[in-house]
Amino acid sequence: MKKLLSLVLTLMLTLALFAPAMAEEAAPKIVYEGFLAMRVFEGRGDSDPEAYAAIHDMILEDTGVDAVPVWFPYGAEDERRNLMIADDSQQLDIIMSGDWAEYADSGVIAPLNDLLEEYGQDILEAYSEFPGIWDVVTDPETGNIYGLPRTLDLTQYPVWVRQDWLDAVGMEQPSTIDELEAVLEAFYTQDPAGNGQTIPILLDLDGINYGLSGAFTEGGYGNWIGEDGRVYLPVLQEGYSDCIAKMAEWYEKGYIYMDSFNVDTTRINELIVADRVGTTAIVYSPVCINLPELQKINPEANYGYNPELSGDKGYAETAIGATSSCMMILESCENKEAAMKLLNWFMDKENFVSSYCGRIGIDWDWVDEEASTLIRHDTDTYDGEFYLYPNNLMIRYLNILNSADEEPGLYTRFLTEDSYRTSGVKYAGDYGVNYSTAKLSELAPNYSDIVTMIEEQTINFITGVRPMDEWDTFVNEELPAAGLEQVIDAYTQLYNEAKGL
Amino acid sequence: MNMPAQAKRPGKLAVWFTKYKFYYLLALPGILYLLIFKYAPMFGIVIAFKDYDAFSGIAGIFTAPWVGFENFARFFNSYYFGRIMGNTLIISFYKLLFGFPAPILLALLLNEMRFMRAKKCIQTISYVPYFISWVIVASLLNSILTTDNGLVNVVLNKLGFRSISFMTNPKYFRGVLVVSDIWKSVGYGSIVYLAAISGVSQEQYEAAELDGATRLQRIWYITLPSISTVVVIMLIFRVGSLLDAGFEQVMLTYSTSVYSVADIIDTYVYRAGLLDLDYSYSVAVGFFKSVVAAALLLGTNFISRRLTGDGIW
Repeated sequence: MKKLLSLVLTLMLTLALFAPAMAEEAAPKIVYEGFLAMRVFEGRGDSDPEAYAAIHDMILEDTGVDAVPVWFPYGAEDERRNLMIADDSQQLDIIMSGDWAEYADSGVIAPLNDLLEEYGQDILEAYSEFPGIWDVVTDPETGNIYGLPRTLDLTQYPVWVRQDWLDAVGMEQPSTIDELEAVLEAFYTQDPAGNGQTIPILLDLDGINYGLSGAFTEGGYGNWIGEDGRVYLPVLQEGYSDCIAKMAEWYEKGYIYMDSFNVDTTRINELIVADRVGTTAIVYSPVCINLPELQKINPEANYGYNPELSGDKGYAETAIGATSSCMMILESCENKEAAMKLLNWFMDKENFVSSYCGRIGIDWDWVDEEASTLIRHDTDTYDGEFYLYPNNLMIRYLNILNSADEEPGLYTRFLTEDSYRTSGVKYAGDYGVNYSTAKLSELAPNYSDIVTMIEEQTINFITGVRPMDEWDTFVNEELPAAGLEQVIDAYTQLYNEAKGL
Repeated sequence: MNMPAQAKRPGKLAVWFTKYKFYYLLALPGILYLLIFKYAPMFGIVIAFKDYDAFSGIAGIFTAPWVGFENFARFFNSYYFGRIMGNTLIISFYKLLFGFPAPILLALLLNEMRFMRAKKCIQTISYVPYFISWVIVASLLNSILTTDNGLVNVVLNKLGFRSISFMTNPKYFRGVLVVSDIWKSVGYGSIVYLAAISGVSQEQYEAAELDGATRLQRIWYITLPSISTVVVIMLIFRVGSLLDAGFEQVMLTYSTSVYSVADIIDTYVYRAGLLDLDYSYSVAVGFFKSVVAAALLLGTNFISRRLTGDGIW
């Protein structure tokens, strides 16, 4: 009996030794950076375990990948991402942001050319709508593609104006800067929000630059090419000082929200939802995202904009070129094929929507698949953890309606119809050329000092801390003393390399 | 007859360790902590003299190429070097000038209180801000000082004045930093002085009272001299940290428009060094700060010993 027992135990132990080899091979685990903004600004990310498992299993079944999303602390995403990249003990395979050129120089990210060809058919098809888009993520020397572009050519800075307030003060959507100023004055004096709470215009420096400065400058906002072939900074362009002077005048008159340059996105959202903001010159999304919430307390509230707002020098808005922000697969990823399969999965329309909304037929359904309108059911089980924001192209497919017969909301209308327009905007002189911050800093070590100086002083001129009659001193003496010429040389060199000059 | 060989007598050190072994064992975790987390990482300072790649990990400390003093030169040649050094020293000096006497004053005032319940209550209330994180304090400051219905500006408007943007106007921002720092630290800082004051013999006060000394005279001639040693030691520590102008406080409250008066060494290094993954540059600047701080500490201690006979060592 004892011998029999020993034999059985020996057999069991031997089998146990070989069990891992005999067992079905586990699916490769891919850890990817999830979409943080959804958790922070929409408060999502707390699915029922069953719903979470259903989406996880869906991805596993389609791709054979065990997908695991992770999120970095809000406000410290860049640092945390870089720390995780440098730390080999924690698995991280796909990242959503960062300077690909710097990562490529450090050997941190993998080239994607072969992976795209073999596993990225949906990706290639999705981006085929934007010829030349791959240039922003390709190393011109080696031809290696290092990421999937996330920010495509866009007009992101419409000047939203409250349509219901315009009706109340008897005015139309402004088509010129002078008309816009008249609207701001009307909002300021007539106080549509009541109790002195009206904010005629809420803006930031990017909004001024990309949304308004084109009305004052020939080339819009961006680097411009001088007659000598050198690349000059936007602040040096003729007419830019007129734009800043106008903003300073508006600030002095009280049209511009006094804390405009000291508020974060959370505060901006609060102000919009509080029914206080008449006009915005900021990125399009806060108004679009918060309008439904605002309409809960004020159903009449609505924003509109004139896509051809102009000034003496032409269109006010400047198009944003595709940036080098991209999705990258890390070199440390042990199964890059699986990572590419996962990314490819997200580029299918239905998969993309499922990652946000949940299970089709249970959590959501198409209203019109061709128009990409859908309706979410009130299951409240899946909360979007697997959602990945590949690029602003895919957002067009998230036309979520409150009911089957509703019209798409402002957000989806803007993204679908207006954000890719090529009319009514200006293009910077070096449009299409992307500059690596790392390379600029290498060529001009004072690059970040110059950038800081321009931002700081421009705000000081607008807020009146510094009088406008010192602008010429700032541009002609202070900036050169800080090493402006070196930065111009750096930009010129990189521009020429990109253009093959 | 052969004598047995004498057993070797244990050395003094061995005797010492054996006699006090439990004390050493008690101190061992702390010593190990210091060695592992404070002394060993000091080796990393070497990257101040190298071009360290953030993604090369620990091995990069050894394999990165040497660049000598290039990072230091970059810092000293930076356009903003003068400004950030100036801001650091000025803000620290203001905090020293106004913030150093404040806890002493509070301790003296609390010591004079006779109504014990009120004294304890005020003490507790004064300690509480110390335990509030700067994140909360920054949020409170923004709420109170904002031009958008902030308490202070509402009062100013009611009095007929125009709103003031305290958080974004360089004229006022340093004041905000200093006042908020004093508010936060005065209570906790007074503990050391209260403890020192409590050690003063009551007989001296009684004798002085009998001699007709007023309350102020008793404070000036008895209390202050009695706690002077503690004051000097605390002053040495404060001067030694003169280049620490309060990174967390400034980082959470400042904005682009007040860089001219609030951008200090630490915030500059955070932006230009850490955010751009230029760790070598960040370490070089940190090293520079440490050298200056050590020099200040040694210098202040030396001067203090010469003048007063008191010092840390």
